[in-house]
Amino acid sequence: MKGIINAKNLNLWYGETQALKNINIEIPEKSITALIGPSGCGKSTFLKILNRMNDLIPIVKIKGDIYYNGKDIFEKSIDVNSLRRDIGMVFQKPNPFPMSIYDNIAYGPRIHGIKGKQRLDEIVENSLKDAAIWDEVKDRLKKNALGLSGGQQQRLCIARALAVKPKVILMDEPTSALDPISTSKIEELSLKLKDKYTIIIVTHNMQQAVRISDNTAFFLLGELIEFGKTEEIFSNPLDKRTENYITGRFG
Amino acid sequence: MNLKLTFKRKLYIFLMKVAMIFSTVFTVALIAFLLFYVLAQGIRNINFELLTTKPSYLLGKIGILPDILNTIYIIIATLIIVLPLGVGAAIYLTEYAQNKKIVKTIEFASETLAGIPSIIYGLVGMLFFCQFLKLGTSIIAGALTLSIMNLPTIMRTTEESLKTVPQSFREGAFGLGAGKWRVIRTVVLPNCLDGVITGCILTVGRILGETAALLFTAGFAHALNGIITGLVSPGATLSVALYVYAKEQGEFEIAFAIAAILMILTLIINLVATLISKFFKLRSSI
Amino acid sequence: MKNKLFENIMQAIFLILGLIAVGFVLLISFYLIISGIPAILEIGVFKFLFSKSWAPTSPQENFGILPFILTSIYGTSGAVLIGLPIGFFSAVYLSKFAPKKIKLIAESAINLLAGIPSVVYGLVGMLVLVPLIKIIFSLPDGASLLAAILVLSLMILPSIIKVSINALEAVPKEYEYASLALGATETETVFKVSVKAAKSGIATAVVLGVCRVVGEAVAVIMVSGNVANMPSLFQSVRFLTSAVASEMAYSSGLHRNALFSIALVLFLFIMIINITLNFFIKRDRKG
Repeated sequence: MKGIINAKNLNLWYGETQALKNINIEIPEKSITALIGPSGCGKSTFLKILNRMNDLIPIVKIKGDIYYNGKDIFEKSIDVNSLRRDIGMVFQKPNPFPMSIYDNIAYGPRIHGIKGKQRLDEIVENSLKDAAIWDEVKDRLKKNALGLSGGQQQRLCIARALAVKPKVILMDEPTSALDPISTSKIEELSLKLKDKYTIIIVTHNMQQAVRISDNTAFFLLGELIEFGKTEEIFSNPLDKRTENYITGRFG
Repeated sequence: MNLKLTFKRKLYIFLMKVAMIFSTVFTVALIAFLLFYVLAQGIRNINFELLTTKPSYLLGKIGILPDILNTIYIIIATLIIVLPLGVGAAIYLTEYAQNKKIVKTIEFASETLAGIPSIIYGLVGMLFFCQFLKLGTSIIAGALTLSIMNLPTIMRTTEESLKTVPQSFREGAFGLGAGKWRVIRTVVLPNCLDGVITGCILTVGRILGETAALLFTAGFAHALNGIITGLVSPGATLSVALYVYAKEQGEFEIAFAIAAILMILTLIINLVATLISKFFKLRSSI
Repeated sequence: MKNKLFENIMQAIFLILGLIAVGFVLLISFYLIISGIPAILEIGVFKFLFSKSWAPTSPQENFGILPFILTSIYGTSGAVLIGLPIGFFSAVYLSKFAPKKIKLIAESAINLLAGIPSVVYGLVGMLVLVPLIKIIFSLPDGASLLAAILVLSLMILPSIIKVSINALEAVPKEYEYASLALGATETETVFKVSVKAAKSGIATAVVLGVCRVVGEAVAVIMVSGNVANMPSLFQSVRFLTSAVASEMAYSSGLHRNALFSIALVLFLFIMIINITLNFFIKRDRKG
């Protein structure tokens, strides 16, 4: 087990408030890591700095390091656009662009300079197949993506993220806006994708963490309380606070 | 992942940034030029005599007092006519209307009115008010024409502010057994004051700048009149006077003086409009 | 009972006030049609619209308004051609990139531009732009289609910029985040996602601008030279609006009626533009 992402003594402030306190974590490659914890515990914040989406918020201050493949992602020489190409993201609310299904998937590759109809066709088809939505949309690739159902839109967003060939996929509560059937489809899909990709998923749903993740990290008030194999965290938590949380005493 | 952006992407980003900054700087610079040029050319021609006398061919002098007065008369008359119409229409749309078709028709009509060019208002105003209603070329005919023109503005601003009056205010008043009209008069109307005032300011701005609609309805006389005689006589507003002096008579110094006055008034109107919207926002947030 | 009657009367009054706008539209349409149709019938629809010469006062009088129609179309297209890119890029910059202070200053400048009376544009055009064109292109007279196009492109800017800014600011942030997360830069994101998402709003902005420019009369009279030539960039031309405005004062008989017909044509132009605009807005609402 090799860590693809390592955080070392990571601290983060929004203005004066400290949102992450001295986080140390090593996230293993080609597996699913679930980040759990009550609202405001810092798990989403942690997820978003992994591809530096926090750059958009000027008041954020960071101390400490995050290494991706051994390189510090906050270093000046790092190109944030290539970083985000490597570390893709799926958001809480499905957010397909208001364009055709085809153009949604082809958007990323086109940005990164891939041209030629044949190559793009190929990428679109493969991405949609990988996201298990090809059969549902193959006859209406030119239709507007906003016409799809919520669950389909979310899988389309996953396909869109896959199209730029990332190594890591960050998922920020990807099923919280979806119905149970769509949710289980996304979960199945995640299990299938972990053969090729590293997935880090923030979830409020503890059953979901148990069902799909290999490792679980429990955050509380900006601290990483416990990190380990999902089975162990849920059957045998080391920390009292973890136990309280997973047994539903708070949060 | 240390792959830097390709040259093509960098070039695209660079070109877009250049285009954006160039366009913005160009626009702002042009506006600044326009403002300072007109003020510089105009202000030195503004003097007390110009503002307080009427033109006299005998003395070979030009004064713009009649034009200032005409502008004030036409603003007052237009507001008196258009306010009840526009506010009433907005009240109908937000408080009474139930039939969707009627609402749609009224809204379509109002949008259409907003899009009609002022020269067409001028023509129809001339045919209807001056000729058919026998008002002749007069300030009042001009004011009536401008009222139609500005009806959509008053309707829109009033409607917008009526929509922000919380439904609970109305329900509260109805709950006390008040009739509909009483609710509107005591609860709804006082709360849409900001919309009405904003509408008035926009209307004043439009009247100040209007020329084409007034050429054939209010005419371009420069006689000095009181408000009553003024209303039924032909008379040029500042903008019309500016047009006539520049286009027909080649009196560019006077034209620039008027232009500078109009420019300053436009600045003041914009300032007041901003202040008022800030004031009402502040008040409603308390 | 008395109360009920009173409420009904009030309701009727407000209904009438509400319908007044409709009444005015009908009044305007009615007057334009009854005063505009006779001359068209007398001259002949085809001859009126497509004949190239306008000579109302010559012995061989001719009433062809093709020069005016084409001038209005060319003038408006020219204004859009120049005003749209400048307005579009300014709107994108101000809505997505500009620091707060710059945005505030630029927006109040643009509000000022929107409020400046058209006669003032005309005056400055007449005294600055027209002589400048005369010198630069060494023409006998600088009053030309080009001068009109330049003035109109300035006048079209505020509506393009203001409405586009609103449309761009209404684009959900989620779209932009998604694009950034795919590795697009902010500039790429704005131009390839935000602008696409706001395109019907931007189209509305252009149409509103076109409305203002097609209907503009006094500024173009002052800078275009006002001769009924077929349009050509460096020649003196006359627009539909200026044709009505410049001859109304002294015309009579068929000539006068023909001016009303021109106004009717102009009105139809505006109605077509408005309907196009409504189409855009409706399509937008449907998603």
